[in-house]
Amino acid sequence: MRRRFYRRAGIAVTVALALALLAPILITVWGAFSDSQWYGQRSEGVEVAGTRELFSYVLEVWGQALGRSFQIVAAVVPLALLIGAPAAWAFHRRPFPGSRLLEAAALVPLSIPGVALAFALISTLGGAPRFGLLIAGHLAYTVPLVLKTVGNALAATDPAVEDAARTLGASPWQVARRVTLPLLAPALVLAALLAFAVSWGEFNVAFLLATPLLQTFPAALYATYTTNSFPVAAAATLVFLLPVVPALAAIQALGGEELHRGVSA
Amino acid sequence: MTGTTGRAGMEVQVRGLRYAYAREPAIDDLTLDLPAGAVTVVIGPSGSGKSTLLRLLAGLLHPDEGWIHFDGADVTGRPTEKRDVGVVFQSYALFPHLTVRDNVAFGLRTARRKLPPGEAAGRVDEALALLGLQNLAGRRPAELSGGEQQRVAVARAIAPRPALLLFDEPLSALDARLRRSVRADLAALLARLGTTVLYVTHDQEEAMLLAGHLVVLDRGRIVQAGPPLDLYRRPADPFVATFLGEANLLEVLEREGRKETALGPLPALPGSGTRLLVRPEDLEIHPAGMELEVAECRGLGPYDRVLLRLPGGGTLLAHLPPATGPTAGGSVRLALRPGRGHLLAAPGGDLAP
Repeated sequence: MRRRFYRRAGIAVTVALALALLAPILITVWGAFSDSQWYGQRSEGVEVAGTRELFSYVLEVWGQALGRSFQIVAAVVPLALLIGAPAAWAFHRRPFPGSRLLEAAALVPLSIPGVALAFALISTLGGAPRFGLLIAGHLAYTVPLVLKTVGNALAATDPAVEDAARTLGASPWQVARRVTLPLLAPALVLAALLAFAVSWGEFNVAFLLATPLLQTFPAALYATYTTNSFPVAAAATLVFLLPVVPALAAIQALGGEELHRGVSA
Repeated sequence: MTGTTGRAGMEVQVRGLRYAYAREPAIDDLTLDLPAGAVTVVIGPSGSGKSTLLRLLAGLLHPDEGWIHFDGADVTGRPTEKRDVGVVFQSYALFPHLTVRDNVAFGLRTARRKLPPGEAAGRVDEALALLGLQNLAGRRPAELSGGEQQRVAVARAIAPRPALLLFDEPLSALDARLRRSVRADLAALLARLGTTVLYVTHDQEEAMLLAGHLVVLDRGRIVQAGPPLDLYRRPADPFVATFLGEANLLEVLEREGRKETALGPLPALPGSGTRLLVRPEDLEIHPAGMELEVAECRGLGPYDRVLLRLPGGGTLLAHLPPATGPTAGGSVRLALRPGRGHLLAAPGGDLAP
């Protein structure tokens, strides 16, 4: 009896949570496709009518920001992997005095508000190009994720496997290419997806560093919500969510199964 | 199968080797020769430095002091991949993403040794056949039992025909019964390969079975080295005596100018010291022996394990032929078999005997 009660309570809580999490998205979807009269007006004053026009309007107005976001993600994800993965390897396989402290310190940016981070970047590196600053800001949030993901995978693999490859005559490069990288592949894919999701959706740093020519899509979304009508903002949000949803689904799938199987085999 | 026998193994010389983990010496001024083509077993308790020694020879660690020569060539600073060694790891360390065949083939296509594909395939087949792995060639390590994984690890290490094979407690992860059968197979394989072998273990039965040359290590130093039976029969000190098997260490007393022990007058024995080593199987039932009370008797099948009370306090362990009579509470007359027993120094050194 009691067990059944707890089971039902558990299901109820889960459903409530899921609804609470999904509700904004559902409302957004509804907003984007509903044929409302609140459609915004272009600056030229042409009225936007119909869902198709709505989306092409969004893409036209915010296409540049979308392109910027893609540029930034294209720079941030490889850089985060190139910095984070070797660092994780060093922390786990060649620890040095103070490396544990350094590893812990690398996670600190995750708890620093984006506003503070952006101001710190501007005040110390104000002369640097804005694009570079923005990349640096995004790396501060994505490198720790790569470190943690790859670090966990390394902790779960037998370090003797790399030693074994060396005793069989493999050069350091061959060990990396034929043993370490294939073993870490699921973790690297997961890390890349996480970095993508974080960088794609990052708002604080991007908003504060934004210039008229350097605006990411999330920063542009903010402007849309404050200046355009709800259906326009909703449509823009859907455009924003489009690449993230498959990434999140892949993260879920990888994190759940592939990662454990690939690593612990 | 001429190809399966390794090249005549190389001779390894180690001189004055020192290695410390964060100032804690693991290998302390160690000097050792591995004779070409022989199996040298290094045995010691955990923490004795035996695995560190193996990693130093493999080049996975580099010594703080001392040198290592392979066939006269100094390899002390040479990285692992440039040393002609094969290692079987305690955890096997198989490549989880590769099949058995690709695991075994790994060492044939590396910077050190790059065989043409046809020749490499032949060598892999040979190694697989030698360890009875032909039917498992397509499997991945996760799909193998512990014993099968162990055989893949050995096949992978021997396929490139290294001049020196290093085994790091390769059987410790197997259950006792499997260990016994694998041990015998391994002994036959090593005899057949004729490669120089260093085999590290903490299991004295394994050591006695495999060793041509036995080295006892304790706290980073060699306590004693030599043929295994010599070490068993004539250990240098109580540590070696008790580590290599069950041992009774009886105090030698001097009474009216004659030396004796709790078992009676001391027979003439080579060596000196204040302790008489009596292995359990060195004792026999003898009408002229010392009468001792039986505290415990347990038939183990091949022999009876009998615990006896000594008159001066303490106990004596004897292995007697099965069902020869003694029962707990009874008594039995025991004597040292002729030619058995060995004198050694008491722990911490001797005062005058």
